[in-house]
Amino acid sequence: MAVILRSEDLTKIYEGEVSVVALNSASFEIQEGEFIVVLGPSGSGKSTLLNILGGMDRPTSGKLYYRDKPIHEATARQLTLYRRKAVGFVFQFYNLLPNLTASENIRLAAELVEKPMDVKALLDDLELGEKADNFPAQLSGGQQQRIAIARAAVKNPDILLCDEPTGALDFATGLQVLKLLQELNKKMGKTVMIITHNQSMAAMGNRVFHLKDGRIEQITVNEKPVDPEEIVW
Amino acid sequence: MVMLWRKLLRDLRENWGANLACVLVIAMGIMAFNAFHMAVDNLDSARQRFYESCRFADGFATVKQMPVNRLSRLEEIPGIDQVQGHLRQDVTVYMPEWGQNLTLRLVGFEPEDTMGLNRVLQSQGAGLQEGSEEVLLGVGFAKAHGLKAGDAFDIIYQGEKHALTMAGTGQSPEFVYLVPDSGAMFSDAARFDVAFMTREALEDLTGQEGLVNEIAFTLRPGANFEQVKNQAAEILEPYELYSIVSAKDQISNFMLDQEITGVNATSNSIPAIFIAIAAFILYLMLRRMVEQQRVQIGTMKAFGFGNTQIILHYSMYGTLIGAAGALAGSIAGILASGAMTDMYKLYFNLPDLVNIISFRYGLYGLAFAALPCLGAAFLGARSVLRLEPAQAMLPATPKRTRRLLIERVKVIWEPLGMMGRMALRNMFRNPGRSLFTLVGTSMAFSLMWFIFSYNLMIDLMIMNQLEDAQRFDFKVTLNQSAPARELEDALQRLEGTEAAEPLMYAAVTLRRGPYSEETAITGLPYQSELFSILDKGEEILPLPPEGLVLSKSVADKLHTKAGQLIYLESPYLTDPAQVYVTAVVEQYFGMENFMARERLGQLLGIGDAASAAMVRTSGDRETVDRLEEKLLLAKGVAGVENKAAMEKMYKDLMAPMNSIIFAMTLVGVFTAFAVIYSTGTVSLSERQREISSSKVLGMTDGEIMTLLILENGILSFLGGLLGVPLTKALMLTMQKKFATELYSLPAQLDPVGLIYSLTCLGVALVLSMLAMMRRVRSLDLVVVLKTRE
Repeated sequence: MAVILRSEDLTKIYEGEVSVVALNSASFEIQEGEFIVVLGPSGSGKSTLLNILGGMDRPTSGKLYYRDKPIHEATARQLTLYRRKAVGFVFQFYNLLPNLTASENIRLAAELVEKPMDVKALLDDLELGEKADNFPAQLSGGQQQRIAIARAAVKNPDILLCDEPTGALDFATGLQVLKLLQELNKKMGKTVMIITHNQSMAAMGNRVFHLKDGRIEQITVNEKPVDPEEIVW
Repeated sequence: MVMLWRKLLRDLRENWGANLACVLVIAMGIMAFNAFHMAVDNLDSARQRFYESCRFADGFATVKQMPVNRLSRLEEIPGIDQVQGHLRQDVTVYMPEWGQNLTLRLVGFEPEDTMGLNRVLQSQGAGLQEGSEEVLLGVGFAKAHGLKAGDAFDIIYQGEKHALTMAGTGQSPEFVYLVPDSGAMFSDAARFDVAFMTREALEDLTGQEGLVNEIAFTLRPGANFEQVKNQAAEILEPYELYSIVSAKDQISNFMLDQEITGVNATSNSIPAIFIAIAAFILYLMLRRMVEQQRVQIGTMKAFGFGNTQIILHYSMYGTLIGAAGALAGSIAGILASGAMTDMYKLYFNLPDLVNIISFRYGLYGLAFAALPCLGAAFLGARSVLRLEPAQAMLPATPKRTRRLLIERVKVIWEPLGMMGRMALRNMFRNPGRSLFTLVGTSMAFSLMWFIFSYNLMIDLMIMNQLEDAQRFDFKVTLNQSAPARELEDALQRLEGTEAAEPLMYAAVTLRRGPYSEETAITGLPYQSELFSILDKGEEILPLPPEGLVLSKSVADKLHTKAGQLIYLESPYLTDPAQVYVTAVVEQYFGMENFMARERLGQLLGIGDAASAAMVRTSGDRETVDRLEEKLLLAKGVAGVENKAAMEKMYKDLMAPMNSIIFAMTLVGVFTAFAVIYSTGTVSLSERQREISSSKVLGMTDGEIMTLLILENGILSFLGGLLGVPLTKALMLTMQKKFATELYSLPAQLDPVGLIYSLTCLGVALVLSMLAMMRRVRSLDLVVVLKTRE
């Protein structure tokens, strides 16, 4: 398996009245097709890590390579293209555009790439075909998050970055979302990274990054990642 | 990017009220842009075609009279190419049912001369028969009086009635715009028009065989008018030269030019004001919108939308509104240009003056509206560029709030109450927006007050003069001056005369140092019963027994003032006489200089002479009508002016203004509404959460509205206050711009108009508050409070 993301001493410092080191010398490699869970309490630097990996933010120092391309040196335009082609984001609060319907939200992303996935097929797979013409306000949280995942997947990116994807959902709905992510990982070979503060999700990942105070304290490997159904939280 | 377009259209729909207001403001501007440009193009091209086809001359001279065979001397001047002379005679038309203020300017011409200058274009009827008393009537006069070819009517020339037959209608480039020599604000073809007769017929009628009094000439290529003018003046001087002007200053062409340049000047500046207002509204809306859609922008960026795509998306918002306004405005402008061209047909006597729709202005208008809107939207949304996607996901840092200076002044601050304090803080929280409301409302207010001051302006210019200053019923003008005493006695003896006062009009040249002015002096009876001099259109200025009361415009030209000595030249005098200026009178309409009649006669050495008289009548209608007819037909009477008919004429002329006033008022109210409503909605959307929380805490919709009304009411009221000096400045600018030889606009604001415009501003405030009330009521508390900002 090829290395899809490689970081060397990634560091992010927020300058202000007090400087905050949000990420401190994070070094790791992520293989293509891995399912990574990033675990840590609030303020541990999970979102900062995710934002930098996704090209949404720049490291203060350190290096980040996507398939050997230096993302830390990328111009704004190159970063945009990286986000467009390589990455798909899933947010805790879904962030669907409120005045576009479910299918339109997905098509919005599909229009960004040359070879998107088929929107209708995707909606049917998610059993959301009936809701295609509903606006986000007319959907439940779980439905919204599944649309958001479809929106991220439709671009056919290599990596899916998910920031607390079940954080705003109840257990049953959260489970559906996790199953969907695992399917994307297993059936379509997408590299998936999930951020969570929920310890029990760690069992799902091939590897788990434990973050604390901006440092990756430990990386644990699951020899046998479990199915979401087996998780209880 | 189909989906982004969809989002754009839905964003537009969501904010439809403020957007519509914006579109309409732009539409008003672009309507004016299209209408003004097209109407003026119509006028200009019709003029050019007419001037070319009928050979409009390059120079015009007026003399008392001159034998036609002397014209050849002018042709010897090197710069002059072709010379032509004709007779011109103003006569009264006898149509008692119209009052007696109808005048026709009879102009002699040679129907066969196809190479002549200022040729007469016959537009209706048959050709003129040689030597017969047939005329080609001005189109406007014929239409106003329902005359057709073959109809006969009477004119009065030197106290005798003559029947003229209308052979058809005619137009000449020399008389496109007609005002009588005595001056008028507007041309009114029903009361003053031209009629063309063959040269022989006019010579027969007036007994001026072989004479001309109007001369037209063309210049050779490269010739200089000023040089030609001096040489021509020398030749014409012995025939009592009245004036010699180039085509540029020829009165009809001059008035046409004034209209064309005047409208051309405003055809860009007025629309620019509207577009600027709309652009600022858009700027505010977009700034608010990108703040509100911060997370959406971040999400789009996270998905790989580039800055260009996103900023273009928001800029298109403005562009679409600009384009919609331009489209609506262009369509309305096409209709309005038709209406304006029709109006021009009433004032300008041009053949084939037609409304030509020019889509070019539609395109220019589109650029004129859409580009600034694009720019405004871009500026409003440009913070999008700086927003890093990761940072966009976080809530915006709250704006810093500081205590206001006024809060330290306890005497003012304490009694304000919670509502007042909140309103004030909100006003200062966004000073740019408050300032815009202030400026917008003050502009709308100024427009309204300016328009509402129109009636006062007309009173000061005309009506006070007719209603208060002139207390006579008829003014009789003589062909030649006569002893005043005899004239007065003769008039007093007529049945129906209650009082008669003779007047003397004397043409003079006034000089002071290097300055000189050709003008006239009106000799008034000292302590006249029938006439008062009005200063600034309202104050009576008593006529001093000695000395000269100078019109302000003449005084300005001579650089003189009351108390100074000036020189007076007249054909009656061999040497200039000296006279003191005793007072200067500011007149808005006409420029008359006054002197006691007897004193004027003495000064000129002609004794107590009179060339006209004012007559007040008494008795029943029949007696008065008989008196009028008797005066008209009296030997030596050149004309009789009926004051009641004059008053009616002005009132008729002013009537269409009422609809213009109404339309402009609507524009003013709407502009104020658009400004208050759109800034209000922006501020409302910014404070949705705060207002919803207040509602949850138990504040009623009414209380929230009180807060909004307080804020906007204070701003509108301040806008009104700011509007006072602005209106004054607008008035002074208009006064400067529209001052002509004949009239100037009084820069006086009508206090009654102030009340009207404040009321209208209030109406705009109430309307916008009602519209906002709907939004406050429909605020979904749960949705607002649940949404992450």
